Amino acid sequence: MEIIQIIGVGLVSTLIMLILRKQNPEIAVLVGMAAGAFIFLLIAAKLSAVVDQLEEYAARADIRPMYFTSVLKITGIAYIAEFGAEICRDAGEEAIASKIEMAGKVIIIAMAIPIITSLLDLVLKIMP
Amino acid sequence: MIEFIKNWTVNIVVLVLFIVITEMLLPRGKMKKYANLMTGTILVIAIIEPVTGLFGKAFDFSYSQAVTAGSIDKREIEKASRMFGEEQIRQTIRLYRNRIIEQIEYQAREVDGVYDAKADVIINEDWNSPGFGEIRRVYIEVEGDPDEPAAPHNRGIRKSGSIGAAGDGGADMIMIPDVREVERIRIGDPGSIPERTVPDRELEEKITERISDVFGLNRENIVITQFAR
Repeated sequence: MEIIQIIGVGLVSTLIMLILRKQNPEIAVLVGMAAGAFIFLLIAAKLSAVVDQLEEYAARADIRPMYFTSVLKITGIAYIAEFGAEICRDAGEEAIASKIEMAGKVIIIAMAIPIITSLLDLVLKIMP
Repeated sequence: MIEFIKNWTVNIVVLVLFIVITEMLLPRGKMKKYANLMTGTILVIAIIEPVTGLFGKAFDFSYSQAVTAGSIDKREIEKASRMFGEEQIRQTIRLYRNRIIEQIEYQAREVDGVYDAKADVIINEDWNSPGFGEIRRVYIEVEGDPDEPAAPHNRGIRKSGSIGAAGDGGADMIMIPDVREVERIRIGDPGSIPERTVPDRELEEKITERISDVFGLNRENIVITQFAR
C-alpha cells in the first residue's frame, strides 16, 4: 500500500519540520523539499503507467499525439510551478512564490498562443 | 460516413477522458484556470478539425501550430539578442537550435511512413546580420516505418543469364552459369552501422515538402537520409 508509505513520509517530515522550524528554519525548508520530491518519486511510476495506458488508447483511437503532448506539457508546467511556489511559500517567501507562479503562467500562455491562433485559423478557414 | 462519425466520437471521448484525468492531477492553485483554457481550446480543435475535412477544407492543426510556434521562437531570440550579452546570446541560440531540431523531428515523424527521425540544422548565428536566426540547412535522418511497403528497386543484376546471338541457340551461343547476386558489403562492426535502404523518393518528397512549407526553406537546403529499422 503506497498510500501508507506516502502518509508516513508526509507525517514524519511534518513532525521534523515542526521541530526544526524554531531552531533551524533553513533545514526545515530542505526537509519539506525532500519530502515533496520523495512523494513525487513514489507516485511517478504509477503516473507514468497511467499516461502510457492512455497514450496507447489514443494511438488505437487514432488521435493526434499533438493533443496529448500539449495537455501533458501544460499539466507538467502547472504542477512544477505550483510545487516551486509552495516551497517558497513554506519558507515564508511569498514574493518569490508569486514570481514563480507568474513565470508558470507566462510559459503556459506562450504555449497556448500557437494553439489559440490555430483555432482562429481554423475558424477563419471554415468561414464562407 | 458512419465510420467517420464513429472515429470522431471515439476521438472526442478519449480526449475528454484524458483531459478529465489530467485536470484531476492539476494542483488546486492559480495555475488551474490557465491549464483549463489550454485543454478547452485543444478539445474545441479536436471537435472541429475533422469536420473541416468533411467539407473539403481540411485543416492541419499541427502544421498551423508549428508555424506559429516557430514564429514566436524567432521573435523570442530576436528580443533576447537585444537584451543580453554575447554569452547569453550563445545560450539562447543553442536553445533555439534545439527547439528547431525538435520541431523538425516532430514534423518529419508526422509524415506517413516515417517511424522515427533525427535532425540537425545549420542556422545563421551571426547576430549582426539581418538574417540572424535563419535556418540555412537541414539534415534529416529518417527511419522508415517497417509496416509501410518498401519502395521498389532494381539492383540491375539478373539471377542467371545467357548471352548469345539471335537465333535458337546454335553453336554461337555462349552459356554462362548462374550468376550469384552480389551481396551487400559492410565495413566495420555491423551492429554499430545502421542499415541504409534504397531511398523511397516519394517519402523523401513528402518530408521535403512538409519541412519546406512549415519552415519556409528552399528545397535544396533540406538533406534527407533514409535508414531501415
